[in-house]
Amino acid sequence: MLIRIENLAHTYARGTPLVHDALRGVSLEIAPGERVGIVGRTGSGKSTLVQHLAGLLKPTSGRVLLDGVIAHTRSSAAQRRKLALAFQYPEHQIFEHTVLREVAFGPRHLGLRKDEIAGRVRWALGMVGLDVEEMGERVPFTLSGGEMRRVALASVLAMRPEVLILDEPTAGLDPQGRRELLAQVRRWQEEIGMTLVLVSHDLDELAHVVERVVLLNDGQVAIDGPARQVLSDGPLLRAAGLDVPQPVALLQMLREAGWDVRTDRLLPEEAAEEILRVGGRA
Amino acid sequence: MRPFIEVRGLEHAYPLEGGEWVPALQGIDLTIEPGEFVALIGSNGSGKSTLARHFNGLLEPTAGEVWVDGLSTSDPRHLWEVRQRVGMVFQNPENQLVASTVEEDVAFGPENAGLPPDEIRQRVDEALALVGLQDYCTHPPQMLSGGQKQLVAIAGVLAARPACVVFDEPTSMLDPPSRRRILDTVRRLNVHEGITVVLITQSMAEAAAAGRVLAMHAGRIVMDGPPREVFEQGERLRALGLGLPPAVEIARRLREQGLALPPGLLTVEALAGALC
Amino acid sequence: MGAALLLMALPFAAPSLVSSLLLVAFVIIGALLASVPLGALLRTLRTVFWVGFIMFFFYLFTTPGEPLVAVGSVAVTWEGLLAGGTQIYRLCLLVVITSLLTFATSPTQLAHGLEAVLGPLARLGLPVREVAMVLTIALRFVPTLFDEVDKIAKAQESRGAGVRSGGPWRRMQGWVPLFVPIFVSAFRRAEALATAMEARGFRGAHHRTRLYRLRLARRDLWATLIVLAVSLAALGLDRFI
Repeated sequence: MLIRIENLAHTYARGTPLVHDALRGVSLEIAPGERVGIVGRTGSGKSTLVQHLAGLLKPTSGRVLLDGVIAHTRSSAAQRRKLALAFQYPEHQIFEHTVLREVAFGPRHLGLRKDEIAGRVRWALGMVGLDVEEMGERVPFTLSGGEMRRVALASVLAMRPEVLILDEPTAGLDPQGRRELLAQVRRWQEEIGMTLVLVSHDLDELAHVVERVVLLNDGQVAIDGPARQVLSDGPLLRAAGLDVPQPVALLQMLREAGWDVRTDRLLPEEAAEEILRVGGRA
Repeated sequence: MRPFIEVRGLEHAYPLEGGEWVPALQGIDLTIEPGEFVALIGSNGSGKSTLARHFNGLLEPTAGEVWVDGLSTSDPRHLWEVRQRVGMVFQNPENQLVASTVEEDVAFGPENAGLPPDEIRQRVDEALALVGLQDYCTHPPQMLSGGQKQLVAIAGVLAARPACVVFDEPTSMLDPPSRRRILDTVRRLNVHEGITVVLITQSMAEAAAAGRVLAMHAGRIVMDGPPREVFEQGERLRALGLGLPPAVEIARRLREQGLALPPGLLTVEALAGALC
Repeated sequence: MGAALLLMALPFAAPSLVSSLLLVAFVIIGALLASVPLGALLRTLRTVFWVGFIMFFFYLFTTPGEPLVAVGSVAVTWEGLLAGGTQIYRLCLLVVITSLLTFATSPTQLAHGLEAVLGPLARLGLPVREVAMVLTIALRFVPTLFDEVDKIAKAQESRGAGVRSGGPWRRMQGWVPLFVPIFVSAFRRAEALATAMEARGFRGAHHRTRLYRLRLARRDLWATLIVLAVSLAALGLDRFI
């Protein structure tokens, strides 16, 4: 599914003293199969933007087109069904009394047959690393935080979306939990071939998953380009309230000291390789 | 000098339906000196929060004892004094604010202590100045960002003039700029105000900034030492479900490939310095 | 802004009759003094539009008296018109005066005022201060809960559980995915808040002092006197007309 955003603007609370321009003229296009990261500080408009992508908000001006159909209207129902959005702390939306029913919720609304739904549930739970036999009948609220998060994500995955939008999926997880989830997200994307939109303000993490980064600052796109390029642009990131990933920071310090290193190596292992290539033994 | 917090043989178990008991803490022995800056790390379920809640008497030991400034937390008569000496800031900024304006929320603690209004006023102003929110006295919570709300929560704790503050993942729900602001405040409180700090965190970089790191696993303390010692043990940390600060990770890989680097490099600044 | 004590007394002046003009004038003056926009005040009447409408027709058709127009066995009487009109007037006045109160006073002041007025009841063993605290906390969380409802509604909608779309049965079912998470979240929130309060030394509402104490000022006494005077005048004028 091709996503096009044309000059999107969104103002909250018009006509009241709390009026706030969350988005001020955002334009971008996301092609099928891309892995895009949307980054920015709190208040930059990230959450508003993804809600528009999912057709949950009506633009103050501008358009959001999903395969050419305007997103927030009734007629885009077919397109919206191919798109799934997981909010921050998705475990907060759990309401069913068994894991099976919770994960089946999305597929049920897609109008699938019973056996199809069961298959989807089994597959989705497998994708998040949970065993359907063991977990199926358990009450979600009795699970640990990490398990609840996986159940919530499985319920989103079960819809087998063409576009998967994740808003801060690793928020609140411990280091191992974060590593595992990011690895799983990569696997999902590779297996299903879906478009992946990842909203985050943890740039060190994002570098592991996405190939393109859109930086939002104060409701506008500050820069939109390949991850290596955007995440190594120190001045721009700092102006937007963020900072380069630590490996990049190190390489930039070395460069300033006269080393001839590339500064767009985003991951610790890449930075180490680069340092060895230039300064030490390769 | 007497340790500020002393823990001996601490055990804590939660009862489950059906009569089973889940052990959350198993035999903890620990002392924390006044003025220390201690980071507490561990995977979810390791018992960090449970341990921290024994420091201000929110939880009572199932076995063993906890002393705060010489007072036993198991003694109900001392509970309120203990809570005055040890303040606690929680993870979710929203769920700590009780009042409709900043100053009224910060006043909550002193009000509970039955202090006269003039003194409450003074404490509120002091506390807000310590976190830099003097101009926000009459703001309602909904007009504050997550970081600001957390600063209000910290001010609320400081208004009781505690000797120690426990921070339970205070930055988990905040963005990078707010995280930096909170951590700067925490550091300042420790260095300039002499407040003993216990910081529970999932960020290895944050933990690396402390003076001492305690790593927990399955209800026990498994590592205890200065950051440069603790973060040398990369394999062990990974096995515990934790990780390394990025700079340490890079340094480790460089050493693996034969590059000679001094030990104890925790930040990219230090690493850059060592390489040049 | 006078003490909430004063403003609490106003609604009692509402159920007066022919002295309507006096009361309306009073309300307008009050609004101007408190810098409350009159337009906003009048807009609050929208909430009771349907109630007033139904009430009017009820009185119109059921009050006994001389029939003006007859529709079958049901008659509209002059007395009915009068009775209906009076009730609407009373209703509107009540709403406007209460709105004036809430516009002119912050929720915290209202809660303080309520606590002060009902304070003496605490001696009878009623949990006045605790209730006041519960009220203040509830008020503080109203905006938060609004945001939460919005967030969860959107989350569930993106999973296909629209309360907006589908037939009536479908829409009703759509409320479950909304209510359960909100309840769960409310309980979680309450527990977190209670823990934080306990950690800050809360042990019940007794022995608590306050940052701000309501004090009876001269302004309050004047205001109370004026309100009393207006009320008496309103009641008294009836005798003479």
